[in-house]
Amino acid sequence: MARDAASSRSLLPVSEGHAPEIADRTLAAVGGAVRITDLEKHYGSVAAVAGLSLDLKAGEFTAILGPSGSGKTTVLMCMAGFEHPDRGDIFVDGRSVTGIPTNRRNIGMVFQRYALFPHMTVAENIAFPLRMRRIKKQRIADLVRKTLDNVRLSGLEGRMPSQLSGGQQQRVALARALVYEPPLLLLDEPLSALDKKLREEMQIELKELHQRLGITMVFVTHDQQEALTMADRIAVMNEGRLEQVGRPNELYEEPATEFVAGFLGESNRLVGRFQPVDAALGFAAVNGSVRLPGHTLAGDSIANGDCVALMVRPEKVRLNGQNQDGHAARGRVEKVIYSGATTAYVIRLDQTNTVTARVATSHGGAHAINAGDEVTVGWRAQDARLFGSSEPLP
Amino acid sequence: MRAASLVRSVFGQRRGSERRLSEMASWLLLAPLLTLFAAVFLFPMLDMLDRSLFDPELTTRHYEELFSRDLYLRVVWRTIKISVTVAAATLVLGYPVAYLMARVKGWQAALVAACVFIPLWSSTLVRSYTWTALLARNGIVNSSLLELGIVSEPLRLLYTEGAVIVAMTHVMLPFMVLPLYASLRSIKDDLPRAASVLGASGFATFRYIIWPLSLPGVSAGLVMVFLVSLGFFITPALVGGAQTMMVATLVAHELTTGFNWGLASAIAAVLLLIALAVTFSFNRILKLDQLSSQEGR
Repeated sequence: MARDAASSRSLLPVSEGHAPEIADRTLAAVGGAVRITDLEKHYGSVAAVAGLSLDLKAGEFTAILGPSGSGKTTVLMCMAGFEHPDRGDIFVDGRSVTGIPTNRRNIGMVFQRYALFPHMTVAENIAFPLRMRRIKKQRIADLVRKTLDNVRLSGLEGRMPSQLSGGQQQRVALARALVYEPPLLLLDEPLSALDKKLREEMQIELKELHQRLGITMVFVTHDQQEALTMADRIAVMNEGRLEQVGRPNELYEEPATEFVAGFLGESNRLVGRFQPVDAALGFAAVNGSVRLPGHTLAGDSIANGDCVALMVRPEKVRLNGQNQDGHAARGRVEKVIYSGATTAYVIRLDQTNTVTARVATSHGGAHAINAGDEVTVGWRAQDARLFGSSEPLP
Repeated sequence: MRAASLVRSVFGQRRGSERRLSEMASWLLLAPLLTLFAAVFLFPMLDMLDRSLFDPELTTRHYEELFSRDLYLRVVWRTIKISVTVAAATLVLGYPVAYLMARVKGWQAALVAACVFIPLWSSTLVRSYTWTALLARNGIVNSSLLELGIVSEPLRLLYTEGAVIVAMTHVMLPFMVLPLYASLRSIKDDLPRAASVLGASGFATFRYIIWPLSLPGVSAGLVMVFLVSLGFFITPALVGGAQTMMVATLVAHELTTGFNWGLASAIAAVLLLIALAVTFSFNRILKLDQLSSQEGR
């Protein structure tokens, strides 16, 4: 991450004696550090957020990822000040913000539907936060022009928001949220209204923008791909609680909970009875006959005979004895799904269980596997994870 | 492109006939209403204009009389003045109510709505009579003031311009609240939130976001209240007196006591002209069309 303060300052040069809020901030660090402690928010009897603690380092790009209803948006609303937590506190650069009204928090926010002011031109929209900060007209004009340049919207300053495409509206919303250089930018599913191609472009653009500006960004999304692509760190939420925080690869490769393993990326899930080997290794006996290997972590506390869920990524599944730990199951290929660089094979082990294997497409066809073929499936124990499960065995 | 033109060449004719059919169907559906309008609205209006100019033969006599007599001009001027005042008063009183209605939810919303709608459902006549009971020489307002020792003599409240304005404001309030509510309701929650994140105080959010976006409702409410007030009869007839005569009461007076159809029609025609002029200029000034088209995204 580029923390080039000089470049970020030349990008959005704000600092003027009579604008205390902005002047203050330019002296401070570029990004704000956020600490959320024990946050709770109830709506009636429903706990939207049930005790969440999270630390965001200054300048970090964090995604809060979770399904709808997981409380991720409520956390963002509390950070913005639209909602007031029932318990807990939020600190920005060490100062509690929960008592500060939204308009004095000096944070940036991009809304899901952009929330551009429909009666103002693009330039007026972007100038709005500067006008609210009583910055001189001439300076506002300069800043608006530079920011428009920055988000590649020059020439559109006179347009009304209704005359812009979705992607352009998105850029205006971003420009409006950044023009006053907030130390913290909140993004509430900002890409969900865009089509796939545009969304992917904007993902890269946002990431670049973050690297150039070095401000702290919090990005709420339900799209795991988006979170994996963009974020420095991901906080996965479920039912108002934090499931896991970590770098994208940590979460993907070493999920702490079954929920994280299932929510992030593709995953095979097999239920069986636990048979321990040593402190970190065991088997899931699936349907009594097949024993499949997996590993446990120190805190897991699963006992012999407990019901376990075995989670393994499709790309870790090996077919026909390559790189297996000796324990393999036999199955029949049910479906072959070709998707260019990789091919997915759906293999039926028995009546209730299938395993999907994703392998690099083999060209030449010497080892071609076809639907109906009998294959062995297996994986290394360290590639599969065993989670204690309360589910009754079939 | 080719596929599209192919589709058009194959289905074009059929689509065209369908469109003609649906256009005809829509005219048929409109026909009863249009007939009714023509019979009870357009025809009497043309008849009125006719009488103002051809009574008994082509003459400008009635208009000359109208513009030469101080009394008539004073009544027209008073009517405009009262209508403007009532429109302004309903705006000031109605805006907070409409704002509240648009923001609260659940039982609170139902309560506010009831406060607005129940007066609307009760008869104007009843409401106007209530004001006569309140404002009469020995009415509730005067007796309260006397009891409290604020005044020593009962005040003359009824049959004053003030009484007409107060009672009409009460009667007209729903006509202001409803269009205001509609336009305030269409402002998405995100917009005031965005304003506040961007640093706007509560007042600034109102001044720069809520107010400008509610202007279509403001102008619709003002025009509606003003126009209805211009021709309002019951309330001024009941709570106003001879000194506070408005155009509608004047027209009725000319018809019932003077049987002067020509003059009454001329007065009504002038009223119609004022109403049209106000509607058009309001649309111009507030650029109603432009604003509403932006909102209707």
